[in-house]
Amino acid sequence: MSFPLNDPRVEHLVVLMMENRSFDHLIGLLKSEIDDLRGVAPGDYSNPDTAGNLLPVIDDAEYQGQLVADPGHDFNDVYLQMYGTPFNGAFARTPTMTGFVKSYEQQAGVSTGAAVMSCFKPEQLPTLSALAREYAVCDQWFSSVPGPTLPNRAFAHFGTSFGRLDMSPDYFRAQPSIYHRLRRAGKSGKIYYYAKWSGTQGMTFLLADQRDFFGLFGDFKKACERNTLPAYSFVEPAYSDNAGELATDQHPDHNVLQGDNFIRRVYETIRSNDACWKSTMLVIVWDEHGGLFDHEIPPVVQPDDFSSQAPPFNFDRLGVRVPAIVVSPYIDARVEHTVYEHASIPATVTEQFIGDPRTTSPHSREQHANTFMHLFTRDLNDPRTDAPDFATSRAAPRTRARRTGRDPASSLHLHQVRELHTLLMRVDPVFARTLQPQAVSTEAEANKFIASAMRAIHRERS
Amino acid sequence: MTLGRILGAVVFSVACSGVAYAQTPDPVACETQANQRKAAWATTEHSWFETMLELQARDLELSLCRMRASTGQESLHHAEDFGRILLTGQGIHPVVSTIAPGNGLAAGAAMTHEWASATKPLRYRGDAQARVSINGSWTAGGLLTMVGSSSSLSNRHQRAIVDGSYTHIAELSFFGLGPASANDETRFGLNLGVGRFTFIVPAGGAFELFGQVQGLRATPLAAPSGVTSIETRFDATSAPGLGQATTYAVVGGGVDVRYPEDEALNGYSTNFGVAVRRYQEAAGRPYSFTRTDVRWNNQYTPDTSADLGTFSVNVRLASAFAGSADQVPFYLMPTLGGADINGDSALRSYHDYRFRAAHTLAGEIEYAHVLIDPIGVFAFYDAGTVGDRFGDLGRSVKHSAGVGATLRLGGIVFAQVYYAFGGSEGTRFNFTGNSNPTVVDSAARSVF
Repeated sequence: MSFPLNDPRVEHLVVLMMENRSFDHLIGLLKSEIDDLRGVAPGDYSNPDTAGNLLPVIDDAEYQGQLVADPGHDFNDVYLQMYGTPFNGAFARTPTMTGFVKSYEQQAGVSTGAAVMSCFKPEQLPTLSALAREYAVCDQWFSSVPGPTLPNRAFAHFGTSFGRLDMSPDYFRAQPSIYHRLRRAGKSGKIYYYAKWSGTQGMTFLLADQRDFFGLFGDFKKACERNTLPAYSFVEPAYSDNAGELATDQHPDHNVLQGDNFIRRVYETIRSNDACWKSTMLVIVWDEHGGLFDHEIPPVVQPDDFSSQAPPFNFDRLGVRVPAIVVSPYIDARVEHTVYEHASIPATVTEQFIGDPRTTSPHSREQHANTFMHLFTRDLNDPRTDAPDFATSRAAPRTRARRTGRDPASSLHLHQVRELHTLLMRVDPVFARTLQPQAVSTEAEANKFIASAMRAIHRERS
Repeated sequence: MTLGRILGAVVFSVACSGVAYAQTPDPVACETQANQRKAAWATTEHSWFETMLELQARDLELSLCRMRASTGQESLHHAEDFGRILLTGQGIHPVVSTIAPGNGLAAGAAMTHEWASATKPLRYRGDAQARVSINGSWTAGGLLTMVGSSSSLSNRHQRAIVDGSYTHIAELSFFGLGPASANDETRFGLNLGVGRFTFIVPAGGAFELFGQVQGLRATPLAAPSGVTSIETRFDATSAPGLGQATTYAVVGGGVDVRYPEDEALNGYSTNFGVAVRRYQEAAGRPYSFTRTDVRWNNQYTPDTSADLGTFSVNVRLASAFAGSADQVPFYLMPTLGGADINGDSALRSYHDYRFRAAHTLAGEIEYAHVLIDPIGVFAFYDAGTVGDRFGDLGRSVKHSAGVGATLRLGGIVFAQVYYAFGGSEGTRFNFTGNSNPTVVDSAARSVF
């Protein structure tokens, strides 16, 4: 393989990065339609609330007004969500993904936690569901940092957050961004933020190159219509309501359906010019989970070149899983299980347009990130010409119907059972010995085991 | 947790921002302290107001602790984060701004809160603020915005705005009415009370229609001692409404058009708006009138690889007609020169509020070019004319020209300084800031 790939199917790579929603929350329930998708069904998982009640995953998410406070997503909050216990300076061995409800109640008060276990029914999000059914849905894409927006977005722009977990938008001295690296390679890259009233973190690190590196959504539309998109485009949704236009970023508590409509606008804008459509790969991804439940355990990764002092963190574990869909006329419907994070974005841009990311990317996490250029299933002379019907998008289930509970438990579900049993052996060994994790084989048995274990753990700690 | 404790924590956190503690905290202790506070909060129910203050206070406390527990650049970034939480987002924030040109900087507090209905397609935003300026001017008010959130591919929604405010402006300049007024400044004060309901409807494409009803109470005041007050040189004939408070019921409507529908940095863009309002004096005093405002802004940035700069041409007309038995009160007339009561500039080499009349027409042509990003330079030419009658517009046109420098972020001018000259009344050096939101944070608020 020679680098850069310069694959003719990707003359333009477009990334649309939305805000603060987890995989299970937005598209987890598509598991009922898409075989092999590591999603959820109502009742599959549960989290204890502050009083010890188990609150299960449910399918009653609302477009707005359900999350009365912004779910926590500072490092400190995400640690509790992932491990079920507060951060005390030492990292627990394996996340249990059992602290989401407690974390939310630390924001909004007692008895409010069920909101973060709520998931959208596929028909509620017609664009997202249709694209997930029709193209490559990545069910192992994790946020880069167990923390908030800006460090996660920094991984998409730089392949690192330079050891930062804070939300200061000051990235003045940060270099080199993927945009600078593309320019050095004779290519172009641009951030298209929505409008002048909806700013972007990139404003600070691209200050000296505003004309080269900035555009608004109107400029993106024109570039698509004329097929003059740069090699790499990073599209940002509207981050706030303004004068009759709603925020489209889907950040809690912004209207999620309006964000779904914006995804459709970006998709249809690219399709407005056939030449543009046939030479563009669109990646739709969320920056972080925003404090909303997801059941997948974020994996450990190669530590970053930088670390944080306060809070102490080496950037050696990914944040919570987020939805990600890769759209191209050369991709058939599929589920992709490769582990990705946001450093995969500059790594893939590098691989396609600059050189081998393992040797040319400047920072460790990007060098080791998986890339997604291998997702194509069609040749250049065989592009798809069909289009999802967003209005009535109810594709036939690819395989099986909704699970019944008698289905075999997933390997991840079994992993959670074992982890909980290990934890229970430490806090209540007598009760733990009465359980038989090795006997658990079905989803229903796994759910029952987890419920019992969580009750016991909570009882011991309260 | 009591409201008092929350407020105390906010005050404590703010007070600590400039204080160096004797001991540097352990980084883990910051997290432990935050965890304990959060865990305590999770055990009881809270009102939205308590929740809003608690979330802001704990974030301030944690960012401050992290700032002290870290060193070098990381400490600086936590300090910046502290400032971000203090000044932006939902909650209560200190604000620094102006109330009206010529009245100095004002400081105060503002509160922003956003929420949405889960059962109706409606979103809400509430803002409240109170500010006092160094010359004794003050303002207090609130604004509630309700926006429809039904599914819309074009993302254009109906909205209703209810706002009310009371403002005391200590000093406004008055030179007399019309184009021939002498450059001999007097001053007056003004109290303005406004209650307003506005409804805005997208009308397809880039069109919007709006309707508005409002109640307005305006009271002219003598100037503070030490300056030449208006009544020493003018009377009710030369300054209609002098000494007369007025109360209005106002009904109006208008249209706003923009092109292109989606904002672009390059190419041609335009924004055109017309508003007509009937001001009916509620107590039957002879000060009823109808005012028309027309605004047309145009901008062109050549879409070329080389930076050829940005050209702007803007026109603004304000025209107030009173019946034969009525007059327009001088204190509700539009003005040209420097900046008007809303901060809009025209004839920039002249004094603020220099020309006042029932009818004003102003235009500007500007060319802006990036010098070294983010610093830009610009040159401008302003023209303006005022008239006691509409037909008088154009008979005496005033001119200004000037050059300036800008600090530009992503197409937005955040601060600018200019030097203006022209006419026979000297030159003017001015600095202004822009209050557009800048950071990735909904409800952002800057300090200007």
